[in-house]
Amino acid sequence: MTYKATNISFSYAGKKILNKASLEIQPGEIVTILGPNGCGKTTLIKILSAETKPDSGDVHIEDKKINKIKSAELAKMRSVVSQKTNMSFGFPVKEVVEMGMNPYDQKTTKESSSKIRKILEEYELEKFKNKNYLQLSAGEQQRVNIARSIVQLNQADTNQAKYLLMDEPTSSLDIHFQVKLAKNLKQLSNKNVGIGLVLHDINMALSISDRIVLFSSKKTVEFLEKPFWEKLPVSLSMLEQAFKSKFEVIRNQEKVFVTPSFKDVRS
Amino acid sequence: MLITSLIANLSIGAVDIEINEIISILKKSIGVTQGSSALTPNDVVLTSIRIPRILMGVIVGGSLAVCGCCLQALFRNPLADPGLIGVSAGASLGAVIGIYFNTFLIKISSIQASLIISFLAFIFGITISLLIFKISTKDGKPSVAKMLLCGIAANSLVGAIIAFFTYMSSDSKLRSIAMWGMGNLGESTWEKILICSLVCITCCFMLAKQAKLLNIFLLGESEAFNLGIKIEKLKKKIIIFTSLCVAVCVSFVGPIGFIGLVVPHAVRILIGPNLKSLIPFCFILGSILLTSADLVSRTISIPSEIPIGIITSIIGAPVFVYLLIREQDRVFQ
Repeated sequence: MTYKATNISFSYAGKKILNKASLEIQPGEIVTILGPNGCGKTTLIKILSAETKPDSGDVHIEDKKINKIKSAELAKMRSVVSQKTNMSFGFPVKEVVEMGMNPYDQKTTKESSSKIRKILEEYELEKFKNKNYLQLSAGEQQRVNIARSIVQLNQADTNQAKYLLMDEPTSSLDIHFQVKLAKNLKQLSNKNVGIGLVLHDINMALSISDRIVLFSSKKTVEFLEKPFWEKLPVSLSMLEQAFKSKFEVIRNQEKVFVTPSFKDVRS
Repeated sequence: MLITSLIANLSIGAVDIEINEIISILKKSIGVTQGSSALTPNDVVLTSIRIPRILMGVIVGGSLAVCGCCLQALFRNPLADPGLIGVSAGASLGAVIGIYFNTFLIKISSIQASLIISFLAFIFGITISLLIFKISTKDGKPSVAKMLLCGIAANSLVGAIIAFFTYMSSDSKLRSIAMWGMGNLGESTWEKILICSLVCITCCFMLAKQAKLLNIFLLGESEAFNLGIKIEKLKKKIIIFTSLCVAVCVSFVGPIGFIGLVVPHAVRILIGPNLKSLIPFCFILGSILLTSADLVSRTISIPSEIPIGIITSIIGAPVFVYLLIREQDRVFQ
């Protein structure tokens, strides 16, 4: 019962983007992908979501090959928050969020309306609900996209395995909404939703993840397992290699924080 | 507005007909009332000229607007119009070839010649748009950007071929080619209306059925795919139905500019981008615009007529610029 990518290789314009990368997300697990720019994180999310076909390797959900699953069925099993949206013609916020119901082909019911209202409240979008999406700030648009993807998951049958893939969902969010999203993701994982996240914030990854997958620019993939506070000092060299930067580790009881070293900048 | 425009079209023209007389002629022609069996000149004007012309205006105006609206959604570009997929250019080429070789169409009536020209326009329109579709498709996936560029190239190439035929034509053919290129509802017959309404209304209905999916497509291709839309199937449907519909319209009435571009734009500003309501409103406004333009073209210089393409461009271009200036912040975010 997993979301599994095995030995994924992918090249673009003659450049190897992914080299036999593998990843597994269990139901209820939060797996975060960390790595430098251009290492293939977004490509992996696109391959996991079936939007992009890999050159070699397979993706399975619940032992079914992803390209054998009908697109409408797939949309009930996983929802995706892309790094950026490319909307043309601005729809009102509420209509964009309601589009999350598309895979279910059902008319708006009291129950679905109340779910949508809750999500709009959760992400503080009530006051914008009739506003043109294109007139919102980048952060507000990101909240709308997150809300839409959660509506897509919430409509699904509770017995069905559900997965959420998010590519840099916090890139435009302020601290308040980053914390809100982190809480929300924990709640979803407690409801057995498997979550695959691409983040640049190492500390958020350490706080919410069950596992961290570290991509390096040399196309190698390493795994950081829990408890991070114990294992991170050992894995620090991996992080430093991946990001070509020095890090400092701050430990506070059972918590661990990582910060890039700005020593050179200060001097 | 549509009803007012239709009544004005029925009543006003080289011969003005009172509304009471229009009602009695209509009743007589559908057999509700018995009258003298002899046809009056006004009977002929109304049933053989004005009604076919109005119906053609309603169908073509509405269809071009609906196709423009769906193509703008497909290309996700507010400046897309039916001309972009090469169908209008192809149809024009077919018509020009038909007019040029008209003397070889031995001893046939002018109605048959006109149907042959329409048939050639339809075949060329569909062929060019299918060719563009084929070139832009790789591994079964049509690339919208490539299609746009191929459409521009096809328009340019076809323009050159038409210019060549125009250059080689005699004065009378030159006039026919020029007149055809400016659009004309005057040659509408009941046969043409039957074919046109069957094809166009079916296509518009099929396009309207895709409204919900097209709305989601407007979020972006990745989002649409992630929400369970079969993107390639949707693109193919839109391209096939719009090509078919525009090819039929252009082949019967000639290329009529601006309706497919301006109407969706104007309606979107009035009621928003949701295609579920945009498509029916586009059909209505497209019909109003084309029948009103036809009324102006028929009456502005009685007894002669100004080609309808001139009127739609004269009305359409300033309205379009006005809308752009008024709504530029909202539309071009």
